[in-house]
Amino acid sequence: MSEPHDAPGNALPHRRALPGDEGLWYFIFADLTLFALLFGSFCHRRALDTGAFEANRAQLYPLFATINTLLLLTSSYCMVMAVRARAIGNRRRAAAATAAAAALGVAFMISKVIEYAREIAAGHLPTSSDFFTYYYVITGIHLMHLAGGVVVLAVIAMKLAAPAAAVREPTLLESGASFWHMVDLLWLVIFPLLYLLR
Amino acid sequence: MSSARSPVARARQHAPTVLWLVLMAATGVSLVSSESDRLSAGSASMLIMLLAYGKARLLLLYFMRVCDAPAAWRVMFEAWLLAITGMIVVYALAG
Repeated sequence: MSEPHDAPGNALPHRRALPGDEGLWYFIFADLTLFALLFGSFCHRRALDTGAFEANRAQLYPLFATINTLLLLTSSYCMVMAVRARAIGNRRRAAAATAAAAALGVAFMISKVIEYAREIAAGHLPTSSDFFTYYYVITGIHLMHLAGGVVVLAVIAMKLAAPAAAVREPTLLESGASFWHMVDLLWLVIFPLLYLLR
Repeated sequence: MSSARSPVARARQHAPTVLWLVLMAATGVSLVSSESDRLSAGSASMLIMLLAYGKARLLLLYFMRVCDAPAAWRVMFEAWLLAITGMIVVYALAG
């Protein structure tokens, strides 16, 4: 299921398959469904008290969230390049791209911690209002996924960089990339939902 | 002729970079739309969610490679995204 079908100029016959381990995709879809419930709950609660939610939203820092979006998009791009590099046998480039993706994930985490610190300093605690409860829960669960993803990517980068061919087949790398893209995908919904919608 | 030199192969090679730049630019447009006084709250919300849907779909299909998935998987993921963004738009416009 892990043919290097996206290698530039690759003429292998095209086969319909998901990249990486198929079991992971069941987890990814289940995770997306859980987040969908959270998003639905947020929307419903917001509709009951739009004024208060909008007043709280206006106190967030959209610039932080925008920078974080750019970091995650760039990180996802790095993982696409890592999978491509691995597919054409360039393990060193794949390791470097995976490490870059993990580093951008760490940058996201640092930015998020600074954002949380500023919110707390401004008196916006998880118990301050319904909006801030959702804000901390949704971004917090997302941050835990991201932290897990950073660890996975760091391990994959080290395996790829090892002189002995520790990663002989691409399933591990493709699985890590798929999970990482899911973290990015969730953020692409969280970003407008919490920070931008007026 | 080497396939690596064909226009199709070259386009495929650069596609992720172009896609990445499009996603980055769309993120900037989303921020500007949110803060613009020229747009009503409803118009801004529609535009922001339209951009979010487009970005998420591009990422889903071409970075996560759901475009290569068996049809059932693709339908599930596309339905998830459409349901989520549709729900957010409906609630935003109703609110």
